[in-house]
Amino acid sequence: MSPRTKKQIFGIAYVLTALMVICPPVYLAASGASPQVLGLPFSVFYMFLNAVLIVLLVCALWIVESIRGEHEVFETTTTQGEEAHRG
Amino acid sequence: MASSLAVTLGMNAIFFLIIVGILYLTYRKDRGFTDYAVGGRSFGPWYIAMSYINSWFPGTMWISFLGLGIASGVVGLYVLAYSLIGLTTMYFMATRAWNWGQRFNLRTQPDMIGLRYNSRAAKVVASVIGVISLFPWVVLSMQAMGVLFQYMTLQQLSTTAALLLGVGVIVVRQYWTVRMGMRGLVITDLIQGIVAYIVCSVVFVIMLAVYFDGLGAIHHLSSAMFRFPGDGGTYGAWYFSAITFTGIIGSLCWPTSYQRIYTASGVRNVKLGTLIAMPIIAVFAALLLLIGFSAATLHSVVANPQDGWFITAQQIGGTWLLALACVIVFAASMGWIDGCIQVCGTQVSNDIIGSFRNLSDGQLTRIAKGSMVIFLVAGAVVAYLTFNYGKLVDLAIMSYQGIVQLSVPMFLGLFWRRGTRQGAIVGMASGFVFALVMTYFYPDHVPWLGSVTAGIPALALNLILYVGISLLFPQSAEERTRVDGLFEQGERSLRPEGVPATVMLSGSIELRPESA
Repeated sequence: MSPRTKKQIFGIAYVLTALMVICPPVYLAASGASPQVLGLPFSVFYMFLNAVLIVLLVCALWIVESIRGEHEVFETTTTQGEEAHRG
Repeated sequence: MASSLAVTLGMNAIFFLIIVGILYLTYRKDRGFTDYAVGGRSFGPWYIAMSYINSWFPGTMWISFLGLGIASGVVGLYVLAYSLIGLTTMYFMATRAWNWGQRFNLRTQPDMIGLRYNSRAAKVVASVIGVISLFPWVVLSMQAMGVLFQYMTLQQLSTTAALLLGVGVIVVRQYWTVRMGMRGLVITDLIQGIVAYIVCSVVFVIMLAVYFDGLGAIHHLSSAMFRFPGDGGTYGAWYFSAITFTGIIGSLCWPTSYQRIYTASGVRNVKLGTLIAMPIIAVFAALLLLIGFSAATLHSVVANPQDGWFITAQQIGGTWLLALACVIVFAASMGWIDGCIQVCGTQVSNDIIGSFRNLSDGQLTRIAKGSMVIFLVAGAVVAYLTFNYGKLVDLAIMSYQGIVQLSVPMFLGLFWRRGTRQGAIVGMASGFVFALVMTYFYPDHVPWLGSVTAGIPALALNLILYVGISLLFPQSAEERTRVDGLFEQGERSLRPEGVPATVMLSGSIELRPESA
């Protein structure tokens, strides 16, 4: 998977989870107490589901970056300009 | 009564002394202003996680947000969504934000804006917006200490006396914030965060299990409590969207939250800190609202939702649980107010005064400390004078709508290379002023815009001006090269000390912000 593809996949997933709570037709469809899911009123379950999806998204991104060694990329050189301007 | 007072006051006093003890045990003399302002960029992921949460959730979570859940139901869960999506944004921006911080010795959020746009004016405007916007929240948080101390003293004190005591304690606490800077703050955030969010979550579970029959109590509530705004009621369809969206983008516009990125010892620790913070926030915020919904079945709480946390705790567990409930709010309030005082002093020194005068590290530190004292005293005085002034909450809402205007130059500056300093300054300043004006006329929502909050049209104006001006008056070739260079450097971290690196002579690009 190229870095660009990875960014697109996680970018789209991020937008979708955000749309769940900022796009009125989507969240209004989940409004109300029934049906109950796992003992929770439906709208509460919906908000909890959104939270779980967001946490899973970041966990998945962390795992993918771990496998690809992308958490932190070190530079092998520094420039004179940077050295001069660092406090 | 005396023995109950001994329990509530004693438990909180012991907690306060433990925090002060930890400050002294971990104290290390600062080696310069970067050490004072961002703890020498030395913290690991657990510190980053707890420090971010402490800077994000004020003590009023247990007062206003719980009260919102008690009074209005599911709408209160917007805090869960925006906090988590906001944190995801922090993960995405971690690499570039931290790398620029390390390379160019950035200490504050306006520092980053100044670097990105090569503009002193953009940096000063961003800093002024941040400091002004934080002030009413600090005042409100100090006033919330009054409510806390009323319950801590079992309502034996008058409102004014409790306020004076609460503000007095928080002022005393700031002695160590001013003296020990960011390092002391982050270390105590870890302890305060464990108590306020992890221990508290355990308490929430016990309260639900023992007293509220698990989720049983919730089913006695009216179904109207579980309808989103826009599904009937007075608000339009866009109200919930607007408050959630503003929360998401506001999450890193607050200087207190953004500055935590620079306290990490590397990009990896910012990301891992984010990852650790997410489940803690998710569990805490979800349980907080479940407690709110359950407490809404108690008549004594419904009559006074803002005090729901203390009333419920006392009803369930008597004096001991009330004392623990007070410690939890005390821990969160201290962490949050400390962060505000610290960042405001640092920004006044580093971004505002430091932009116009060439100051040594010692001078920067002294000015930061002096600014913190002035900010603190001003906050305490205003908290006392405005305790019965209802419009202060409106000012705080106004400031929230104002601070999110930083998001356009900040987020687009981090991810879009072609944004210009002119677009940033004009967009940010216009958006801020427009947000204040709109909020003055529509403090809650704008009915003729589908119930969006006032910050949203201001944000749209800000965005149009930023993008429009940047496209109409594009960067010079030289500026374009500089920004391209910045973006490339933002992808990689410099080697940590002790790891050999080849030093290459280059330096053809001007990398430090100058005047606009």
